[in-house]
Amino acid sequence: MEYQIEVQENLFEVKLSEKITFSDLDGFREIVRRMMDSHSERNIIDLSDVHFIDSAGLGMLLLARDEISHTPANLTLKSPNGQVQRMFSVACFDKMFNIEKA
Amino acid sequence: MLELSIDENDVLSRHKNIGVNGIGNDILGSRILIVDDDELHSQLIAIILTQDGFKNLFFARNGAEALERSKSIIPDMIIMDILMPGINGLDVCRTLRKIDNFRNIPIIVHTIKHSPEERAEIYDAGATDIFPKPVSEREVHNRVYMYLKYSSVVKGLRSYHNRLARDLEIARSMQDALLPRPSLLQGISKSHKIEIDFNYETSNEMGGDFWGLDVLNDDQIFIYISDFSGHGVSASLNTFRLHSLILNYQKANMGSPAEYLEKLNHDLFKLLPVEQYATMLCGIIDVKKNIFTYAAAASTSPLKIAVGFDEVTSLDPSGFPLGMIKDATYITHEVPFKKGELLFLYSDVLTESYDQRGHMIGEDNFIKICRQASMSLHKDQNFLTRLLKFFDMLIRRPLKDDLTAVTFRRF
Repeated sequence: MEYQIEVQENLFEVKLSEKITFSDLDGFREIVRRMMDSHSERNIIDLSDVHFIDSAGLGMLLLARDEISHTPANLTLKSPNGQVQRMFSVACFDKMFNIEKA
Repeated sequence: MLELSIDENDVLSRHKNIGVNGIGNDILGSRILIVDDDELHSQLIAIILTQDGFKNLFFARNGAEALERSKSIIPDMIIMDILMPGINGLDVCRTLRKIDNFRNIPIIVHTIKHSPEERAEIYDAGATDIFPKPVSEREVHNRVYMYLKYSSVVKGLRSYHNRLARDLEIARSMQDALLPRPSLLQGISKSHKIEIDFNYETSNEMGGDFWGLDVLNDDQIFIYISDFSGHGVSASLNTFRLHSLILNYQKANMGSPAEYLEKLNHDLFKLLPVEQYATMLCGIIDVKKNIFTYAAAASTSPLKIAVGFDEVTSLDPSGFPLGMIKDATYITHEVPFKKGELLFLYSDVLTESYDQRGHMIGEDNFIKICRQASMSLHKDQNFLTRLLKFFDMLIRRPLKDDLTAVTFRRF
């Protein structure tokens, strides 16, 4: 997994790319930490360039969701597609997350 | 002798601030073999080491003696001259490095040779480091300590690693023991006319795969397959949690598959940390009504296959993964399941493995492979065996996760 973070006033946006798997746990925790530290009202995880996510990857998104849920901020998952979109629909992520379609 | 607790900072300070006389007690018992044909030289090194507090010093005067003594005392370190009559120091190094006991011990050679080529030859022979001659007291101090400390850390890690590997092996066999016994499967084959085959293959790490079944009555069996998120020890421990929950449920009042998942979800939600969850599929095969009733929690798509034909139906696996949200509800699906048909449940490693060209197999391709396996099946051939053969030809090993595949064929 590669990532790029952009912080503007009240907006934290991270663009992930390639794959999100078991081995990205540490990197993802770091992203969540920075997201929380930014205290932005809007938080976006852009998934348009992610072509694969495994079960551990879904777990990481849940981790972000859980952290955000303790604050007044919100979290949006942006543009899941392909296999990621399929995993989301199988795991009913659309009912748990705010998802912005491509 | 002063003080004696040592840490890495201490080694650093000794490099900068040489002459500080403090070496850890754990190191001082090390057996050190000093090899030199020049007795004066041996004695000089011995005096320095004795002053430091080393007690177990051994000596050899030539290469042949060095090999012989090494084998009898199994030293923790060897300090050796290169130029000796008969077998020289380089040959001793080469010979020792081929023997298991000496593959990793520090061997320090002292030599007057110092051209880059000569030094390279010494390292190639298996020496750990080189002391320049004449031997300096500070050099002996620092390097002997550093290499002994290093090798004791490595030894510790190696024994830790071995213990962990043994523990994992035991855990793996415990996980195996959760799976249904062959006698139960044979019984169901007779009583319900359902032939059950399965393949369970653990990966290098522990996995979170798990499947099971239970006979409900003369017409119905209850089946399930589950996979915990992630892998490794945590996923494996979770399979035991799930197994004990399942054992505690009374099969008499288990309710519909959806209600069953709702109950499991409710209980797992309390037990699992946020990022951990399980995918699952459970259902009832009814051989009298010819139906399969199931509920899914984000499992892989169960496949219904008309064995011998190209008919493969992929069933809907969607539903909240278990343990993710508190009061998740599930849907019970009902599909026809007749004699001659086969139900295939499997873990995601079958669709998420990479083929020889580095492409992920993916669900669509996997279904194609199943179709081929079914169509090309001769009488008396087993679908699962054939499918796994196809799979093995396609993918690159080792597998990154456990592989579970179970088939239920009605006959």
